[in-house]
Amino acid sequence: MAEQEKYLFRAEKISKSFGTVHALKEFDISIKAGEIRGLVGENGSGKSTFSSIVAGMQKYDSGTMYLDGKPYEPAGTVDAVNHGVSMVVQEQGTISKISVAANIFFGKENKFAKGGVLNVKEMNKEAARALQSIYVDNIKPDEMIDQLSFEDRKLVELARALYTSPKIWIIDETTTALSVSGRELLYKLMKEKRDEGKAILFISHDIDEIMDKCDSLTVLRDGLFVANLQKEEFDADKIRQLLIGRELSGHYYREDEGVPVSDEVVLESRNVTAGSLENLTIQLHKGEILGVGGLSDCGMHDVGKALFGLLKPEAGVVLKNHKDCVKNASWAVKHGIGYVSKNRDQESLMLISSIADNICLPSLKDITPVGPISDKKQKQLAEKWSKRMEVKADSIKVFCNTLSGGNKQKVVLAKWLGKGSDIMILDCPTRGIDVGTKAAIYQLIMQMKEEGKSILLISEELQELIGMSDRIILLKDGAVSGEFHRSDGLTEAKLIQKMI
Amino acid sequence: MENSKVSETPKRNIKELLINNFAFLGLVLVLVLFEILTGGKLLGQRNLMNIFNNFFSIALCSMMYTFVMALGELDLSVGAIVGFSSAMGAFSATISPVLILPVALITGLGIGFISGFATAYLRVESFIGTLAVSFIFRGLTTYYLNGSVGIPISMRVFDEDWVKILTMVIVLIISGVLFQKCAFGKNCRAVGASREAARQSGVNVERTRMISFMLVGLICGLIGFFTLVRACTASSKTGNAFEFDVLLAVLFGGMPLSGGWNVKFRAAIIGSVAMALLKSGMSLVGIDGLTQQVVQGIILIIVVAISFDRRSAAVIK
Repeated sequence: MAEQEKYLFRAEKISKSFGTVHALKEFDISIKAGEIRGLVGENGSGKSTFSSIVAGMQKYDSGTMYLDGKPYEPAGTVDAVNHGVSMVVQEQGTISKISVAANIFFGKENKFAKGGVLNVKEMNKEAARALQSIYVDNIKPDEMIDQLSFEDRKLVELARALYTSPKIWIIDETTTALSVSGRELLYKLMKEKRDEGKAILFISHDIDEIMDKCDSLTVLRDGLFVANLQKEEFDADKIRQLLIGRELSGHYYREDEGVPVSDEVVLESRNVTAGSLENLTIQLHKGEILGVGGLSDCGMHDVGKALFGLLKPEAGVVLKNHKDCVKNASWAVKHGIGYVSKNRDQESLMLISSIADNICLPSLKDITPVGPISDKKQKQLAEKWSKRMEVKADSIKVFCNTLSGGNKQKVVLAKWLGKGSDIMILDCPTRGIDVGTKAAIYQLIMQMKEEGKSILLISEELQELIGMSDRIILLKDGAVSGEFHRSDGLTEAKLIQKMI
Repeated sequence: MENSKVSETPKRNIKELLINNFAFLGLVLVLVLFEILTGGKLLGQRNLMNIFNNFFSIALCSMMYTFVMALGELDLSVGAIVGFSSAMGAFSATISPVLILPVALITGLGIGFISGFATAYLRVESFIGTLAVSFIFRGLTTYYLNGSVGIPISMRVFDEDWVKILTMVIVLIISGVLFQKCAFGKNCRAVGASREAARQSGVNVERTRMISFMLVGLICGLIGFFTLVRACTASSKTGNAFEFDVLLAVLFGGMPLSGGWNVKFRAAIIGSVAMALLKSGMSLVGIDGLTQQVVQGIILIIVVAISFDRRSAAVIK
């Protein structure tokens, strides 16, 4: 017993399966009070399944969990919160159409009710206090949640999770939704909670982040426990090896330096004002990887949309090869421009559709220009590129909603490879994606560059921009605030200077 | 398919199987039920042509309706288009009977254009937009016809069975190939599956939606023509409640209201056969028109409740 009491939370032999798929197999983990534990694994390794089990969001098949040495079996999320387990989820976790305060106290409104009437004023006051306790003062409690940016909504979720002062705080892949300043705030809060003697389970794909912020980490692979590492044992290459179960060949990012790029401009925006962009002029050259970055609200995502014709310019023009005006997305696709959206599930993929239908969609007219389209050629196209991208699925008839995030992104890329687009606009192509797929995507980008294709890489990750781009353009308030070349000996600090 | 997660237990498998094939089962049920109730008259030689006439209009419209259903849209104006285009056809006959067919077709196409434009470019929800269009053209039909208008009885020659069967076969082949094999049909399903993903894959979403409504309008013009030459009069009752027959047929056939890749062309045919049998069977048994409406309404609710696509609902949340 003495051994057990050291741990605040313990899980023994937790198993969970969905149909024939084993998401977790006899998974063990023990977390001490005052510890930040990282949980890493590729997509589909069972991290999110485990964390949602601990947070009471789903049942497990077998195994036992202990909290404070007592058996813990949450009946649901409310029960979990009452036991002192709180979680911030990967996707949007706020409830739309209600106020910030109502979101923070969702399910706890009774605290502010008097004779059946909700004391909104009191609730707003308490919400302001909750926000202040996490050092947020720019969000008003009575504001509607829908008016907030994605990042601010995440901060509201943080306030909600921490208001109950949980013993265990689970953070599932939250940092990808936050800007640099938001991340700093999250890290600060994590440290604070640790020093108060709470336990934190931190899930992230970003190995550098995990190594920097966690005291120890647990590696999961295919639903199985792989290893526990203490801080002094942390080593990026070792962790990556444990994650994929084999040695990664070569390096993560590209290695070449100072490669000359052609002067030929293939796609450009001339004085474009659209969405959050103000008088933006940028040029993408042939065979170039052009990185676009900045803070999360700088307008970088609108750059991709404007260049692809999804966002109509109020002023200025978007030109391909100096002369052809990009009218709309349909024109862009026809003229060899491909676009990978940041919102994969909503905009890049038809989820309730097969892999084959997704891959073939932009290429239908190429397969057979007029009349009935050959089924055989469609199948060939889909199979060729799905195989080339190593999409993990039993067949190309599998629906995309059953695939993991990394595999979905592979289908999206296969779609554009099949189309043979020679300009690719990639908006956060590695967002929420496992290390193995990430490496594959970087390799693919390099290969496309070598084939003379031009790539616009929009990313919130500075390391990715520095690692991959020939040239980086930084945006601030919708306008260019800095430009760097690969040869400039770039560091994150240099870029951040121009972003703020 | 190991990772489709649907086949959890045998019990669920049977349930899935039943739900997936409920259109066939429903068809068999209707057939057997009325064959017994009518003492074998339903499929008797004399009634078969009656069933075909019921089937003819519903099936023609349902086949083009498949495109609209694939988009995840509805068109509640089909009855009004049949009515108005047959009225316009009747008026044109006063100039020359040769004009009846082209005028009916152009009228239908024009109304389809209005519905399509309102839906695709003015961003009016299709069921609201087409309901409004239905109101407008029902009103105009009643106003201009002022009762009913006849055409020369010689036009009956077009009401021949072989003309209709030929028309049916041609429309079946064109719409079937267009939907199943051509880029346009695939684009419709893509837009229904995810409008934004379709747009970002190069589909001209607005044009696709617009053309779908125009196809439905065009076929309704053709149905208006055949309705006119059969009765030789256009009245303000022509095409009444036709939109309901068609909607019930495609839903009975198993088309999901959400659209997308689960919309199958065969559903239009199965549903139309079932509707034709149902209508003919009810008449043979002696159920009057009003009671038929009640029965159809109840069936519609049951069909939608059974066929509700839970998988797509789970994604939409």
